[in-house]
Amino acid sequence: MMHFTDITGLAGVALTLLALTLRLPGIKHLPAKPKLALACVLFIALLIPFGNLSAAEFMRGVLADLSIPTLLLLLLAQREWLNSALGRSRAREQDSLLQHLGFIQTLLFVVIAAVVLYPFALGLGMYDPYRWGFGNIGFIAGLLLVALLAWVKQYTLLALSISLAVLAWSVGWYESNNLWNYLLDPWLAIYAVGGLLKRAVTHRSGRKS
Amino acid sequence: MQGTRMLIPGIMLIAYTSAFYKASSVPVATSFQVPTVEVTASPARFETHFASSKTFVQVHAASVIELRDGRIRCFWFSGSHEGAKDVAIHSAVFDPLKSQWGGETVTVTREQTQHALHRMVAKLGNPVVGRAADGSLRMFYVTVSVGGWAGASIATMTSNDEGETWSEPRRLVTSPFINISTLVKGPPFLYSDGTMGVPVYHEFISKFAEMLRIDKNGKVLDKQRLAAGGQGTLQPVMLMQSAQTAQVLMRYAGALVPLRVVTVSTQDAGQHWSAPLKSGLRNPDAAITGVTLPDGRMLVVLNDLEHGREALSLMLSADGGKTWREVKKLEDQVAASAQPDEAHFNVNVQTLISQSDANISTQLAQYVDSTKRTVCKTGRCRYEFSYPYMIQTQHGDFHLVYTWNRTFIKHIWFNQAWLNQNLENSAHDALH
Repeated sequence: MMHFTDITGLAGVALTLLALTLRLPGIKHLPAKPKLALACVLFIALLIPFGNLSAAEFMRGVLADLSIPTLLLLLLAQREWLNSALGRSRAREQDSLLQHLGFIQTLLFVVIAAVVLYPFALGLGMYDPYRWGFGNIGFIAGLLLVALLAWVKQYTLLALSISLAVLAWSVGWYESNNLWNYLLDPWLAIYAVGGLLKRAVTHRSGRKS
Repeated sequence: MQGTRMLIPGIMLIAYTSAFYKASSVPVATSFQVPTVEVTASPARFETHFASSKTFVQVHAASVIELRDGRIRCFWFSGSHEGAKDVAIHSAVFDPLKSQWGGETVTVTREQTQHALHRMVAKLGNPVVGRAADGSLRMFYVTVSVGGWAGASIATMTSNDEGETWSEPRRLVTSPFINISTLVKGPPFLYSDGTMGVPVYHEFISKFAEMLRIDKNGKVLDKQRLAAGGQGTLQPVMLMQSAQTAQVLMRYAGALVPLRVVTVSTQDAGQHWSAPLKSGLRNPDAAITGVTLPDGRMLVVLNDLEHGREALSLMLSADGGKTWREVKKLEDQVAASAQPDEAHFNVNVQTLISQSDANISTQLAQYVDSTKRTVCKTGRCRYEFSYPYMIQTQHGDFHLVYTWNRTFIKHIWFNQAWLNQNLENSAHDALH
């Protein structure tokens, strides 16, 4: 029988592949309802083994299980057309919605976390912050403070990302027993760096004009 | 989004309450479980065999464990070549009463691992096995999805019938970076609370040794760094001296001369480790193995060279690793390697095979051909004796296995009486 953590891991990878596929030209601008039908079919197809492995299983070997903020951002990116397909009132424009949620602050948190974690986890010095993730009380307390601060400052996405990651770790959502694997993944870090750079360039060119 | 915002305090309350509860439930290991060894008096014994029996394959990275009935089970990886898709974990059992190895069986294949882990697995290797606190066997082996060994992760599985059958493999998550670059080579050990310690190492971008602690369900409870990235340490081997003290010996993969085995030590059961130091043992960037004798002396097997793996030595330290003396050169083809032509190799390797295992005389030609196919490339032949792995049984005997020219897994069985005899001889030689 399939383990729960394999189901959650594969679902996350399939969701990521699906979100990327829905960005492809020709699919991106499909009307909402056919797009939803296609998304459902694609999601199932990604999980069906062809030969020895499904596409999600194949890519899980490359991507590993994706962090909770990654999945949250991917879901949020589908919000506009999903609302439309489900007949809900049209959400406000994606950009302003994300801004409202504290999108930039979330990306900033991801970049800071990546800078704190990755160089040291890859061997810089004797200290390994990855060890905090195996249940360090101070680390969890620190995350609680950041989440509370984010909530007070109305950075809803940041507060939600951190809290859901902590919750997922607590209940053993994935194979990993380390909280860092729920908070962050390298693909999210790359996206966050790219996102912040793009914003900085846009902001600068906006000021020039 | 106002609704979502108002939900967050509730999510936070549940998340952090359960997180603090989980964090406070992690057991703290305060001492090692020192294996008990009661040396049985017996005549000196030193015998050699081949544990693997398949020919025209490449084999590597063997490990052994003593079974409850006193037999010895060996594991290694075997296939058309290292990293090939057909590489699987093989096993065989040695019966000390018959002084004979049984036939090879396949423990787990790449396809089985891939199926159970629900992710692509391109290659596997390095099986090591420890006995868990509940008496079951727990195997750890490395799997790679993309790239070379630096991209490896560890899979684990358990056996309740002494290695005849195994549970489905599960993956250990030990790294934040796509869970890559944690490899295993040294024997696992137990802490007094029943959790298992696994010496591991990291190879991606930089090389350093680490220690994992695993609970009875195979969950990683902790990972501790034994050396920094720039220090080039790999394949740690734990030499436990007491419930609180231990030394770890590590392969040196750096370039700073002298090329020596690196050591770290602990005085508080691994809660803190000393800074890495170079020992007096030479090391050509090759794996080492060792055990602590009941009287505290340390016995190590390694390539006592700065370059190459053409010789393998049994070394002993009676002063906690400060000084070492060679007990016996187990393999020595340094001089033969100076004549690396196939004709010389054929004659030499025939003698080596006959000396290694007297039971294979009928298949000698096949064994020679098999060795030549692996070792000789474009007319040049290169000897290799590597990846030693040694255990001491409950009755004090020693079982050493290692890669013999990448073609066979060689097994050496010796006992305390033989060791004492050789120590006396080498002391006598030193006096003259």
